[in-house]
Amino acid sequence: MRLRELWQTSRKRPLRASLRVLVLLVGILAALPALETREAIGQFAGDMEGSHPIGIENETQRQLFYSLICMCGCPRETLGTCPCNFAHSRREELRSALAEGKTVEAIQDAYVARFGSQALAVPRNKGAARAVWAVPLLAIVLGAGALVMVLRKWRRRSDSETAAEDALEKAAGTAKTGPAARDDYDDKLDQELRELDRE
Amino acid sequence: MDQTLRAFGHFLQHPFQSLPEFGTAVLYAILVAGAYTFAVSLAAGAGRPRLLQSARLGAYGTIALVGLAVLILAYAFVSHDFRISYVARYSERAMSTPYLIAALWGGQDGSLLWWLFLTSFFSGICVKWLGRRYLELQPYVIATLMTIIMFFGVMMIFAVNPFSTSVGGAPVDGQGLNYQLRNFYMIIHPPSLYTGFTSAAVPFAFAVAALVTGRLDSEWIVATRKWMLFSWLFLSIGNALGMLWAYEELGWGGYWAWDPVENAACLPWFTASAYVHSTMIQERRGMLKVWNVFLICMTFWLTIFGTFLTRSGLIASVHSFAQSGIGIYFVWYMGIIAAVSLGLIFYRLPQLRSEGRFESVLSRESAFVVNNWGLLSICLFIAIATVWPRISEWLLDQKSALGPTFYNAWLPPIALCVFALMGIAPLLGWRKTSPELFKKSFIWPVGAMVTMATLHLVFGKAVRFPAFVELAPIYETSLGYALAWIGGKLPLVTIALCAFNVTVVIQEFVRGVRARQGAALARGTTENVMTSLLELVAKSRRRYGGYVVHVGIVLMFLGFTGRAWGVDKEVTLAKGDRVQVEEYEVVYTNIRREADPEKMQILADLDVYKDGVLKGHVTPGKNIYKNMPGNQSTEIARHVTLRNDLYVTLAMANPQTKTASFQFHVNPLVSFIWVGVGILIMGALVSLWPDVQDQEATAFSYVRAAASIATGVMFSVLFALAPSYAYGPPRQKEFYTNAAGTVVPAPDASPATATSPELAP
Repeated sequence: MRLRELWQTSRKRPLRASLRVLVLLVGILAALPALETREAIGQFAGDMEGSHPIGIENETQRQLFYSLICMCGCPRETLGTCPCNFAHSRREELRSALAEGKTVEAIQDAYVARFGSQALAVPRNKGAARAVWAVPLLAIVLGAGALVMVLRKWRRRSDSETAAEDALEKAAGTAKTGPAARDDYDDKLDQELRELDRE
Repeated sequence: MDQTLRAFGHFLQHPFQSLPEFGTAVLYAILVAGAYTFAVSLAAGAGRPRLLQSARLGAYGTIALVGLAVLILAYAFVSHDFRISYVARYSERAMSTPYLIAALWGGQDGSLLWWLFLTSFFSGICVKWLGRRYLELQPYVIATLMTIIMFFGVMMIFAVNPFSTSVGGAPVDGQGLNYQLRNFYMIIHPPSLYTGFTSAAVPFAFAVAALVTGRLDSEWIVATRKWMLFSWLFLSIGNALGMLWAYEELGWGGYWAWDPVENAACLPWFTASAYVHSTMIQERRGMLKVWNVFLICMTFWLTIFGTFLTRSGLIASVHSFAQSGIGIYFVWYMGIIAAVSLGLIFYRLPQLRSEGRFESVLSRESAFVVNNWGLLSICLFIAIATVWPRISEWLLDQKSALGPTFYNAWLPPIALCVFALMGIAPLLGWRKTSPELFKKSFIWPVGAMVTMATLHLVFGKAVRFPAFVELAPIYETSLGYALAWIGGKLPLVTIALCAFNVTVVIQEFVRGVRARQGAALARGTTENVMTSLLELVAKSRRRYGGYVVHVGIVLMFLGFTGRAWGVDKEVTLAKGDRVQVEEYEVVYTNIRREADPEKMQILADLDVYKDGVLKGHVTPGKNIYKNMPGNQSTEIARHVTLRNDLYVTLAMANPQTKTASFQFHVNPLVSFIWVGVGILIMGALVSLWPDVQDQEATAFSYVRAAASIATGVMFSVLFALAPSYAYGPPRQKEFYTNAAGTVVPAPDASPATATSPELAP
């Protein structure tokens, strides 16, 4: 479509024009990958060295590999996902260690002794390291406590305000008799709020 | 200053030969213009209202200068001006224009400029939109926006100038963009996330203005709510695109690895979500004033914190494409924001007293308050876990890392509590809920929940989605086993809560439609159901749009649960071998090599059969880039159905024997996440859609609904089906995936045409 035409429509029928622009935009977005043109195919060397299968054979291996971080330099990948050379040789070592009958924990400890405590995907749950879940949980519980206190405070305040108003009304001689009068007021308020809701 | 003058002089003599100097000069000009505007708007606020117009013009001028800076950098990329070291580091001559433009935000220096540009863009829209409205607030809104622009200006001039030149002069060719960034989603993921991040600046500016002027009535809340919703929408889209990027590009089979930067990007989403709920209490009941101001300031602070985490490299992350020592600037800035916001809040505390009355714990007010607590709990947990490696190093003198297993064990139970609240809150009325009403509203949803849970317990195993799963404990202690036990029961809980939540939303719609029809009957007319539904949504868009968002979230939770039933398998196959992966039989037919000027691709062809019928064709591969031969990028391939994705990566191939190792991941229900995001976007659009005049409302509501649905559907199709093209040809040549999620042969499958297969007729 010509831009001039689009401009004119946009002045007459803003909605239709904006829809068209939207469709156009989505079209452009979807067509972006198609902009790639394949150029002359040139050959250059390259092979698949430095990339290895993970080779998880059983659940123990899965648990072990996912619990250890690959220290090859690629950030934050566990041995359960990293395909690099380094991870490959570590996995070989760990497999033979498992075959020797070592426990998962013992192998993890040996790995940590070699690469440092940051090699564990989840720090051991002991000592001050418990703070990692204890602090947020404590904060969440404290938050809940604060929440209850705030709600109770609001409740008390609104109760006392209602009581004060009642007392005032009583003093003025227009005291409501029993709960029926109060319910009328309530209904009216509810009705108004419902209308507000609908807006 | 000397440098600036020289740059200007040089520019006047040789306009286009001195692009780097010109760019730097523009950065200085931004700083000067920003400072001028800041001063003038403060003066306007302090009792010289005539200066307001000057401040507005100054803001436009500053914003125009930022736009100019971006244009200069874009021009440098497109014209391959490798004198600018940023251009040399992030592009090369072989790159096509879309990726050259994407390189603008591919690295640190440029992404900060891009951030600045988006902030300015929204500031511009905000100033224009302000017009003659909010005249008391306006000067301070503009002043706050200018301080943000000035901060980024200072940082770019003194630390990460995107226009700086390399000492060694211009290289012949650039180094090219990191291969992981050469991805379709990379073109759209950072801009949309940044859109969410930067648009949070406007509500913040309003909050500061309201606090400074003391005009803390609901005026500013009404002014900011649409902005916040907009920001929330783009945070959602940005995070979803980030998930897609991870899913398509990182090749480990999942979409969310609890990477520090992913976490940082979702933190403001939680505070923004909390705000869009709690703002309603303030509008309706005049309560929670302090809390709302706090949430806005917190959201803005978290967006800066997110940028800081991405850019400072404080915590190792897959996003370490770009980092340097600019952390200290951010630390100062975050400190200033926190001090100013908290100071202002304390200063105005007496005026922020709530006016409303609270009557019952069983009311929507308290449900919203509890919902806020839940969302912030998740936010807090993620925040502490994200920075834990640093905390541990500083305080405990113990280096540590937190892998995804930690988050996956701890967070789902907390998240499901909030998920349950999401369903309960709409059932409670404002002010108070009578016991009868309470019972009446819960009967259907609870019924649906119990029915679904029973069905799941009985038939779950048969459809291979069992109600309980076995999980490995993350600790070898009773705590670890307890967490694993809870985690193993969560699929049932999630499915049951999904049923509960969906029923709640349906019930709300049905009630609304019934009320409308009842009202029509009372008037003596009738209204058909469709009209009632559309009118209902049109009359209170924010509410029903919100419910639609809830449905999107339900679908996303379904998708997240799918991971519990996922199956991973790794096999080495010789040419012609078959392997059974869950319900799929996969045949490895061929391995081939393709090359273009920039990279070589090794591609494996696999046929996917189900029940003996050929269902499709997947081509996983490896890209080996000429410039970075050591790095190979994994090009994954997916066979997508509504039930699950068969996600295939090529781990290794032997060129002599033609044997190849593959990793197969069967990821159940993943498509639900993308569809859920689509619905969420649709719901947010319904809520956001601008108000129209009453006489237009009826006719317009149809169009509006249609447009929202169309947009949502288009987005979800785009999310679910658009494969990631790096540079190569489409991976699936003879087949394309249709909207129903099945793979069918493309009618026009000539390999010579490089059109996207999804767009094939």
